[in-house]
Amino acid sequence: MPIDDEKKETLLARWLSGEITPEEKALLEQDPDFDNLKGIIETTDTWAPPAYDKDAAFAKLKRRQENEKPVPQAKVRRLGWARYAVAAMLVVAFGIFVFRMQGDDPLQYETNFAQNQELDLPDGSSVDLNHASSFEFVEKGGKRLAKLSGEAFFDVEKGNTFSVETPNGTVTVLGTSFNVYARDNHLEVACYSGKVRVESQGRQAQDITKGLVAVLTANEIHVKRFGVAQGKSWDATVTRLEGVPLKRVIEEMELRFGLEIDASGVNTDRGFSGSFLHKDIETAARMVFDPMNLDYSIEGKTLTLSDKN
Amino acid sequence: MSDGVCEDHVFKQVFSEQSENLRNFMYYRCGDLERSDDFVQEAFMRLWNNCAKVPFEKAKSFLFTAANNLFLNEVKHEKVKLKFRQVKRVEASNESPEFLMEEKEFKERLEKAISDLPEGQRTVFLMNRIDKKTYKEIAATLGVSQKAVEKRMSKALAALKKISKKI
Repeated sequence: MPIDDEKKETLLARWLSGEITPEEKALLEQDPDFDNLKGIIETTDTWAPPAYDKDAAFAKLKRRQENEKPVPQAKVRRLGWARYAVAAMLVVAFGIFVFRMQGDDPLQYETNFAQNQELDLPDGSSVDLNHASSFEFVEKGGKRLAKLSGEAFFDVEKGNTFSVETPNGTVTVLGTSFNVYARDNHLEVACYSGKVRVESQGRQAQDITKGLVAVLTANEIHVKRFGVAQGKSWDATVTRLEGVPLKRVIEEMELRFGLEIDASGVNTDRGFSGSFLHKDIETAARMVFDPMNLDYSIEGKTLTLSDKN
Repeated sequence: MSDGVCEDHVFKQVFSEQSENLRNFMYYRCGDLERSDDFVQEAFMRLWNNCAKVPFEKAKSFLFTAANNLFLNEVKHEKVKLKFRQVKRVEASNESPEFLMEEKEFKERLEKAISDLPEGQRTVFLMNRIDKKTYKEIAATLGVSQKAVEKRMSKALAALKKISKKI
């Protein structure tokens, strides 16, 4: 019984991976070219790639790393610390120029799409920077100053005033944990422990405590209780959102997956409560859009939404 | 998070695990040893310069993508001429000088036929036969489906089977 070419090709691939059955092998052996093929495979199985000297290659790479100095970001930061140490020694030696030197050297961090970064600050505080955010930190005149654009979760060590400046307002604390969301003209601060103060120009400042969230609106800072029980609402694997408009979810998904979501055909002011996993866009889209009764199609770097019929 | 690619020992580990695979992969693609070595060096430099942004588990795909982009960005691609080391003897009872000559000649014809395969088929075939990678591993490295790897593999075999030991 002759076999067609396509079937034969599949069998050949399976023959080489060792998944072939004896019956199928018998079929292949009917092929007049099969003997040649066996000879070819027996021959290539005696071959090895050209010799490779791993140690020499690594040594060469090391030399290049030494010579080319655009050292990675984290290294630059660490050098920044070394300079701090030098500055500290200068305090002992001269006791003068210290503030200026510290002030000149803020720590800078930036995250890209689909990237989180955990930071340990020199004062012992830690910051978890969400995707597509930039962050700066400096200690100056006994105050801790941070600048944020994007989103970050803060766990602040007790100590001097710690403030986070964002393009839309400033958050000041004395040792607490809180989340700051500052993108476009939004500012949203959720407090998880301790107490923080939120200020924005032209609005009355608000102090919020554990379980409260402050949201910037057109003419005030609105304070309400937030739904998510404990802990921050996002981490490296999942984003949780509670009672937010769909457009905010869409924005988060765009930043997480680095794609564009076309929602022109649907109502994006509807509220959403739920979460999406960061695993892949298909999973996330299913988790968000299915319950919202929306259809979606993904083509290249664009996801298009439409109402389910 | 603490042991990222920026740590010297982690970087060295990645190099130790991936550099030879990457060198071979680039050799199968471009057929030029010296250039393959350069691609490897450059790809690892890029990994180093981006080490803060690349999580450990993404390092391998970063390297292969970087080397691949470097290759694609080259203006001119030379004709591929692959050579392999014979590390084992082909099993045979006959060891006459004529036989050995035939063997050598067959090896050269086979090397040329493999070099002349379309790039996708050649790379898959050699990763499987020389580097002993499974179809699944190859699919993951190239970012294509396992089905596509099988397809390329069988196409490569179909093209090679005409090469016979007898001239």
